[in-house]
Amino acid sequence: MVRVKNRYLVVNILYPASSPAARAGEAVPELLQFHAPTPDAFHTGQLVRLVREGIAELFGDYGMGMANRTLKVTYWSPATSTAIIRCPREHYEMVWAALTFTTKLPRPIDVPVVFKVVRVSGTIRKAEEEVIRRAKGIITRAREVEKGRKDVIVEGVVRAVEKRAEPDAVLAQVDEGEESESESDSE
Amino acid sequence: MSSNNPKKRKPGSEPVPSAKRPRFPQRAHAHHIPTKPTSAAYPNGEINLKAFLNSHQNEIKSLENAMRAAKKGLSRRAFQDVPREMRRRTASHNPQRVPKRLRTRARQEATEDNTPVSRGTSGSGVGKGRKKWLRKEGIEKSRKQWEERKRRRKEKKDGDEGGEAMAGVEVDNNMIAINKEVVKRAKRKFAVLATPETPPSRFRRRQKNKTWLPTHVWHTKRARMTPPTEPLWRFAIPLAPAVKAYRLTHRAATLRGAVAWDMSYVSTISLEGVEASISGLLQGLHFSRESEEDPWQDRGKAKKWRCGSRAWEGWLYEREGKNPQGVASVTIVWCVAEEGSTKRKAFIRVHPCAFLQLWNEIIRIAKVQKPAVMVEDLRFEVGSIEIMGPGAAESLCSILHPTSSPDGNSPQSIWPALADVTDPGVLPPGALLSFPICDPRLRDPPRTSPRAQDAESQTAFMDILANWPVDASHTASALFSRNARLAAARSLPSQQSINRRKSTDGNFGEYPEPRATDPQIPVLVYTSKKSKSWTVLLPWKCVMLVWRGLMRYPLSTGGNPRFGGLKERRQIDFERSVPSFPFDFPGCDAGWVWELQERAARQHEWTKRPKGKRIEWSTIDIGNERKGELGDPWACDWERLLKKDSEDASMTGTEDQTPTSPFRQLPSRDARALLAGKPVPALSTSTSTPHLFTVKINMAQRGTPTACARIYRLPSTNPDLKTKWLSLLPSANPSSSRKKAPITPASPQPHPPNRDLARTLLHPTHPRPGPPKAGDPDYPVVPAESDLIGFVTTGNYNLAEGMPTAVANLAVHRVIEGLEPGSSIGKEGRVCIVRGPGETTGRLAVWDVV
Repeated sequence: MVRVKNRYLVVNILYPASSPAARAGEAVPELLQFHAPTPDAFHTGQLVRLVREGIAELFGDYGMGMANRTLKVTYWSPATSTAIIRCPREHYEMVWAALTFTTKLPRPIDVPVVFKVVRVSGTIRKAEEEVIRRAKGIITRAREVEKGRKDVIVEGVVRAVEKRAEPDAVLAQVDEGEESESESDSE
Repeated sequence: MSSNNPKKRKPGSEPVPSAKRPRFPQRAHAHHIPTKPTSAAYPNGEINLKAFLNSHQNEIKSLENAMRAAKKGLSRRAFQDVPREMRRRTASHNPQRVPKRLRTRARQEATEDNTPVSRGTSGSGVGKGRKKWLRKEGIEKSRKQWEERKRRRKEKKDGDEGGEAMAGVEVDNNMIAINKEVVKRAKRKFAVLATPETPPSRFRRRQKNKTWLPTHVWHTKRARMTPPTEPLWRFAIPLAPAVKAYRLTHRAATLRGAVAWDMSYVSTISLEGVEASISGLLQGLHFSRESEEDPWQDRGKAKKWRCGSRAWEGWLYEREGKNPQGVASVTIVWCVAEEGSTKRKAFIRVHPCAFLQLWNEIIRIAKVQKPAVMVEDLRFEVGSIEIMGPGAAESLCSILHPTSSPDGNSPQSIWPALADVTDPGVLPPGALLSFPICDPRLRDPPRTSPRAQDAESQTAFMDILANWPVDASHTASALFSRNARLAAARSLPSQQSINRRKSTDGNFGEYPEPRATDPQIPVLVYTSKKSKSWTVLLPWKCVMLVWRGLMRYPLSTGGNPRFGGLKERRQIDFERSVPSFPFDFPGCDAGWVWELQERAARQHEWTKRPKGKRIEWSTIDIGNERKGELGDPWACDWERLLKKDSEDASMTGTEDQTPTSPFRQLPSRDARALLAGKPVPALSTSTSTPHLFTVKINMAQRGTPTACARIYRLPSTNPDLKTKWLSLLPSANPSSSRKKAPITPASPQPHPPNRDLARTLLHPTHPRPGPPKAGDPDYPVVPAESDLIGFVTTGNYNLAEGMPTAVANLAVHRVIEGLEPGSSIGKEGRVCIVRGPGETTGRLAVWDVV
């Protein structure tokens, strides 16, 4: 039987600058700020549109035609800023590229973000398992923060950022190790 | 205007029912994973740690739910939830065929799917078959007939005798007693072949030209049997389980679990007489002549075997001739000598394909012994079960429960300790135990036998294995006495009475108390070192009870023992690279007959296929302008290996005569001697009969040998071809050969003109590094027919070795042809070329004597 083959991208949205949802509060731990929730205004439809526009910009009509066939957001959780995006197997790199080149959420929200593709998998089950694995890791790290200890990873990032003068370099640092399709926690 | 037109259908009205109901309705929101919006997760837009933790925990929960729902969402019918080995073919359309707990679901699904539900046609409710109430009519008819007979008998009785009923009974009893004595006194002069017991009338027509195994009905539900009109060796034998079994059997026999076979079709011949006569008979048939150990020496295993505490496997041969023909591979078990009796008994266990030939040989030689040996055919009296695998001992120990354990060293008391044995190889070779067991139905359902865990019992266990105290305490097994066998079969209580006893006796959930009147089933258990298996001999009618118990025994490693058919039995032997009798012995008559049968079967398979979809043998090109398959393509064409003048009609057999093999089988001991260049007496005496010997084939490169594959030696007449073939042989250390091969074809010029470059790309001047592959034009052709040395009898991918192997037979005269006498055959001499029937390329392989 002929099957349409798909890839599922697990995407995290990271907030290098302070999140709009967190604006009201006082100083929050870096971890929370980094994995901050996304405003409800950014919904599934907007995510799809963002990806489409990105592809159209980068790859033109060809890219739209190829990547748009089975493009769908199968899971979007604004509270944790996590998404699973389905796309055609042959052209998942286009979608990945479109996401990576996005630096801001669309107009009304308009905050600088990083779309981080953390896993590419062939089945939705494995994608879901990856999300669960990462959520567990974040929970343990948050517990550490709760106890008052400093988060080692975020500290490391902050130190690296301070070393460099440019604030833009943060992005490069965060995205390090993203080449492999399933890397470990290296933020 | 148009909006209030009543005839127009409103857009929101009910949807038209679709013509076809979707077969697998998609559940709404099946793939939607619920999430919480940010506003709900973080009230007031305030980011705090608690809400952060909560939202991530919620995410984990909802995704886990989604995964569970997705698994559930796969539509499964009720019968698919039944474990694979418990499924029934008819379960898809008959809800009665699934377990009770699934029946309602199955019925509901059937109605939803609009599948017709067929009602079972068995049982009393509807009657059987097309003429529903036929049996009812039959019952009525037979009742009337019986009444008629009764009436007639009464009339006759009234006419003949008058009164004295008691005296009549007395007379009758006397008559029976007298009759019995008469029967006893009139001793049979000639041994007769046993006839199976007349089956119940409803099964009689189905057993006209064959006999059912005691577990036949059990097996028919779970295995593919021999076709009704083509029984094997006059038995209906299970060929293979209905479920997939190849890998599972391999695992159960080697890694975890156990595989059992009902081997009741193996024939038993009983010998009775003084010890010297029985020994003389067996010596006359050259028992175990091929083995390294002499069974007649007066020490060690041989002595124990003759005492009756070991079983011995070996070949029996024809009586006549200096170099006698092997008849069959047999197992011989002696009965322990009874006190006050000079007579001994022994059982010969032989495969049914060679039974008649062996029987005739034995009858002939039994008569010339002084005093004569009484021979008895116990084919339908003694049944057997064979079981192998790490869990075999454990399951046997639980099912075969001895009736009593009188003292410390008797087989009964040692038996439970043997549950720890995972490999019968740790026991003394051919170890044998005999004791009476109680009815397994009384200890049902079986429980996992306790395993010794502490150090103390471990040392005790090791002590038993080292000393084997059973040797001293052996008593004569009751299985050797006909009366005990019959008594055990007759005294079996009905299932009904056992159920009653279980429900009234003792506590609920515990086995009922043993009683003095319980049947004692004599069993004899022995291990085989060659096949690493346990064999249980027991009365024919008791096989089913033990079998049912075995199949339900919960192994300590999980699961139940599996069962196998003939195919699985051969598979196990093949995986161990052991030739199995009779399939891999074309040098004896039984194996030759099998080969002829297989030829016919393969040819039939071929002719059944349409012309476009079968191999056209005559057009096969095997190189050097040779067209057509070598010899009969469906056969291991042994006749081709014969010298031309020695063909005769006896090979194929005539109507009154069974076919006889034109070859002799060379024992592996002699074959090894031959390879070492030592003189072999069997070969020097008889120059006329060609010999075959069994080898194992390991492929040197690729390719899987199959049955009937032709085996050539390296070309003896064409030295060029020989070096070509030898260059294919992978060298001992592959790294050095890789170094020699050029890594990239280096071009002579640094910048060749474009045209040259294009030409080199299209026609690579440099050949591919390494030896030529099959299909390449320079791949060596298959040698000539004069280099044919043998055929593969069993070949496949071997799961135990992780590569393809085969068991084959080679002709001695072809193998040693061209060698000067006294020289040995080294590694290069054992390189051969294997070509499957219908294939054009040969593959390099190495053979080894097994």
